[in-house]
Amino acid sequence: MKFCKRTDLAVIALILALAGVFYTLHSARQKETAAFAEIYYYNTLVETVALTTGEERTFSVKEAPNVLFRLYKDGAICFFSSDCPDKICVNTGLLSEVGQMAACLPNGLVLKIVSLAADELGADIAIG
Amino acid sequence: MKKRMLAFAALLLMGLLHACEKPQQKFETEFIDLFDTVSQVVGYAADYKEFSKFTKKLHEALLEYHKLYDIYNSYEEVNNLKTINDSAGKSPVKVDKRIVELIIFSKKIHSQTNGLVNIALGPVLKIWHDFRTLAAENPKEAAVPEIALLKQANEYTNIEDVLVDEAASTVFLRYEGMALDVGAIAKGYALERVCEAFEHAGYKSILINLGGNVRAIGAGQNDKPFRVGIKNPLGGKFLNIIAVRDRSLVSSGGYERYYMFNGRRYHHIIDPNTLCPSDYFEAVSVLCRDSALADALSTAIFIMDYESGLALINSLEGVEALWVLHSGEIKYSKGFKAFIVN
Amino acid sequence: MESSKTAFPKNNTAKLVLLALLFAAALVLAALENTLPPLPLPFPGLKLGLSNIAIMYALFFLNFKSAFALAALKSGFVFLMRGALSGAISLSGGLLSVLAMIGGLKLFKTGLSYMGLSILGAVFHNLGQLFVVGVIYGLGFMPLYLAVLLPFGAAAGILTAALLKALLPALKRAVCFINKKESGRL
Repeated sequence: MKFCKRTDLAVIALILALAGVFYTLHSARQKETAAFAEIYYYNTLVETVALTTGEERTFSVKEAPNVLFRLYKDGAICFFSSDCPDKICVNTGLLSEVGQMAACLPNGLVLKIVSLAADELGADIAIG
Repeated sequence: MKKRMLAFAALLLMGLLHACEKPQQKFETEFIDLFDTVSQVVGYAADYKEFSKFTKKLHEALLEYHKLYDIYNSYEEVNNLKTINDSAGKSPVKVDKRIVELIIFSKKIHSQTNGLVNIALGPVLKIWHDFRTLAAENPKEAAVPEIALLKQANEYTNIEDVLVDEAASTVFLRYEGMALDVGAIAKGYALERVCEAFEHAGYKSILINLGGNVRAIGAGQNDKPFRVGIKNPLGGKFLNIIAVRDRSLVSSGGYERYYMFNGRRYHHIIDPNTLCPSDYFEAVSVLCRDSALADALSTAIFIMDYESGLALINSLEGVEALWVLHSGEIKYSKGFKAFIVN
Repeated sequence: MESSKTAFPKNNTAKLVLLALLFAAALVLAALENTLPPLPLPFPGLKLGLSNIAIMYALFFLNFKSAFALAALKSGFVFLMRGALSGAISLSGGLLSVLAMIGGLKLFKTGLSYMGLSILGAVFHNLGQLFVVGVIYGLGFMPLYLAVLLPFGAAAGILTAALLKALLPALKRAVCFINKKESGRL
């Protein structure tokens, strides 16, 4: 009996192909579960921002045009400027980790980082 | 035959147990109208209806405390801290017992922290608050208050002059010019009272963040502790992720409520000895069972040097703390690291 | 399978002795594997499964029944040593592995060599274990784990097949020895 036959090679090829399929599935799922930012206006979700696009831009939501958000290349996001009196939103700084949140109370805005995945490694809530 | 029956019964039992166990889903919501900060609620519930029923009750309970402990706004239906402040030097004010209890707790904390946490510091804090607001509205006009002005205000900050009549449920500030400011205590105190009530009501998996005061009722999914990330005040990833079950974690720091003047940061945590923002640390966190205590202690150790703070923390049972120095170095109390999961 | 005649025990007692010998070999191989440094992989639970060598020998040169018996015995041992959870994981992996190899034999007849069968055995061994772990811990579908497990199983299968080939002469000698002893006593 030969140690290795043609069918064996086919079995190996099949296994490797299956592994490839599973890997593709995995990366597709990863993309789906990547963190993104949500912007709420008085508890209503008004904007969802993908964080991993690699672009850098400044934008606002139509409910509060005087508040500017800024998304950075590395996937961090922040309140860039605001017309509120206390500027706590801007002072909060960059957010990038799931669980982090910033708010501009006078304008009724909340910016938070979320992920659809049951994230075993992220935080439920962030402080400090 | 008997064995088969037994195996069948066991299988049936397992199936039944499985059917009883409703899968718990994670839900989140925010409140933006409480204690001038943003609150975040994370909880596991069978469905959104159950969760929103809970958050509605939670919001109602916290809103009552918010109104009672508000020093900026008056409410028609109730005497609150602003009513007390407005009646300073004039007359005692009849108030809800939740205000009396808060003030009694605050007096206890005042003596425990050698006067570092003082709810009668209102007159001094108001000056800083006004300067901060002014600077935020118009950064070019930013300024630092004269020390003489602060010292003058400090004449009216003796907590012994906050007179509480428990039996009559009244509070009286003896002199005009006095004012209560419970910013260092009220959020933690209100959160603790409300969470206790929900614990008694049988709630098991809720995590609340009331402006930096985190309190866990029970634990998270599959009875694993909740994960609370401590942000690095100097930027970047979380400093640590802390496992929290039936416990409170409170951070204090000068990184959100502040203004800039001459390249220096002036934040909101004022040292009653210098009457100026405390400059020992970037941030501190306190971990213990009671959220009210954690809130008060996090302010206290933020305005103490590390050695004194560590001594205070070590003197208390079941209390742990973390300090972030300006250099970025982190110091821990002895038992803190046991809660780090990362 | 030209070697099956010489490697086959003559009577029942000889069969029993050989089975016991193979069981012992499986345990020794498993123990040996445990003494090896852990594989530098970020995935727990991936094992070479050296004890599969003994089970493959039983499957190829004895009969299906003894292969199943060996797999079950081995999980029984794991159950005694490390508890019900490990036992269940081992049983699921072992039985699925034997089933897969029998399936390979039936489906391809002589189309698959020891290596192909060994690969099937190794892959399904890991799959069976993963299945039980996944059910017990409620892990759900884990595509990344599967993507790693499959090629790893293939590599482990090649290795065990090569080892079996290397060990075959020794095993054959053992069988001859048992046969001789048995007939001598009778």
